[in-house]
Amino acid sequence: MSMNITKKDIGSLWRSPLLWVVLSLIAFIAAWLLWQRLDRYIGLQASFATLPSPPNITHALWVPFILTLAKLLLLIIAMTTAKAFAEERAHKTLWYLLINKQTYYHVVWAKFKAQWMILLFVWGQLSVAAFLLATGGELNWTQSLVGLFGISLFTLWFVSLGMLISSFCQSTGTAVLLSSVVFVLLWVIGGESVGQEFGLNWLHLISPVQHLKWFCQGEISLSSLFYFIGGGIVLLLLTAQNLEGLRKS
Amino acid sequence: MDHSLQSAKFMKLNKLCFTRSGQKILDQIEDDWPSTGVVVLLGANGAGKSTLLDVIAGIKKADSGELILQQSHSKFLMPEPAAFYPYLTVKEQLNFIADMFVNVQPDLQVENAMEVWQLHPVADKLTKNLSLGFRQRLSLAQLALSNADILLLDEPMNGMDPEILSVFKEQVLTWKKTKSVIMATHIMHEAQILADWVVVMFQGKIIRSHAYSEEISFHQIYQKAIDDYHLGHAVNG
Repeated sequence: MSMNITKKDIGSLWRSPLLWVVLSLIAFIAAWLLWQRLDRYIGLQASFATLPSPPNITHALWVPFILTLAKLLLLIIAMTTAKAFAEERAHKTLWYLLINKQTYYHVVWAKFKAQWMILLFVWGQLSVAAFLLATGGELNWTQSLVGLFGISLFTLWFVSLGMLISSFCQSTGTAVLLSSVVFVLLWVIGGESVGQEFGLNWLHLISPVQHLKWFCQGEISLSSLFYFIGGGIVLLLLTAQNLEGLRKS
Repeated sequence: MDHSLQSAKFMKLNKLCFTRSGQKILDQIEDDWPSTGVVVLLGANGAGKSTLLDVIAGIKKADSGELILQQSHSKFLMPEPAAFYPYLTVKEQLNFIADMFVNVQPDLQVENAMEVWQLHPVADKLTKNLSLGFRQRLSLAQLALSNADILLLDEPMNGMDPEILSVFKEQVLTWKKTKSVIMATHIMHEAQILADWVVVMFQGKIIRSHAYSEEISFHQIYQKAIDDYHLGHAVNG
């Protein structure tokens, strides 16, 4: 049975007990928060009845759920991407990937593909939530699917960034920590209140969070697509470049 | 020593330099090595042997100079200490090597490697749980499986038990007929049985390199090379 870089990384990822613990914890927290929000939404139905256009399930429950899941995902991504290169360096196995190679683009691509497994978790969570919400109300499926597409791009963008950070680190712990700090920083600069005194909040535009929010509103803009896809490609290319640079260290 | 080895020089090290943190680890390394046979690198710790192997493997990039091969050759390294993917089983680790380096019947070749190096009892064991003996076997199985033209061995005989050592020497004698085996070692008496070419390194330089004849021991060659080097330095001020 063949065992290429992608399969090897997938095996490595899913054999880590810590990853299962974190995934379970995050699934539990996400479900708990959705339940709390649902409970509150049901409790406010009487008040909503008096409003001319009351918030629907999609706006009141689905969008916040995606944003909550996106926040929680950052921890998982920091963990899994740290394994991509930092763990290889820590275990001194990176040479397997460097020997006999002229370029490292395919190595980065193979490792990137292994990280796509996180999407299964995201899609699984969102599918269950969508199904449950649709049974009790009217979910806007178009908006939901655009949101799902948005969080998928968001995940892959952060995976690319995490892989780049991982390629700079020599230990898995450092990579997780550094990635977490950078990810949280990027989330914070996308916050609503940041820099509003300057009029147009340009920080929003460089934060992936704002682009995700637009997707959650059902908007697919070219700038957001370019941001996620173009940005992701640039980050992966930088990772390959950095891998090349490791030969000089 | 086969005389054809000396005439068919194929690997040329041309002024290779490698500096890290201001320290010259490889200093203007220049030499020509034969295309087949065993080249043994001798030298004290810090002489630059392992770095030279890494540069030849392409894992490290020299600051200047070049490595010239007559044609494209695949390389494989046996590092010291052996490093494996801890969450892979022995069989998966070999499958991984086969996927990267073996084009023809990889499954069959993995089976053969496991047979030769007696890895079947630990086939499904995670590599992180292997004993030193089995780690060495796995490392050698990888080397055999890689089917590379240039095999780079960094201290391969360290801690080998007599049984593995015997199989290892047998295997190297087979490999050297068709491949270039470059071996860095401290275990001189065992290495000189296998050697066709000897290289002495000192402080990042090659201070002696020639075909090896069994008349002189490695220890004598090494000691004379070091003495001559110091004498030359003393004369040149």
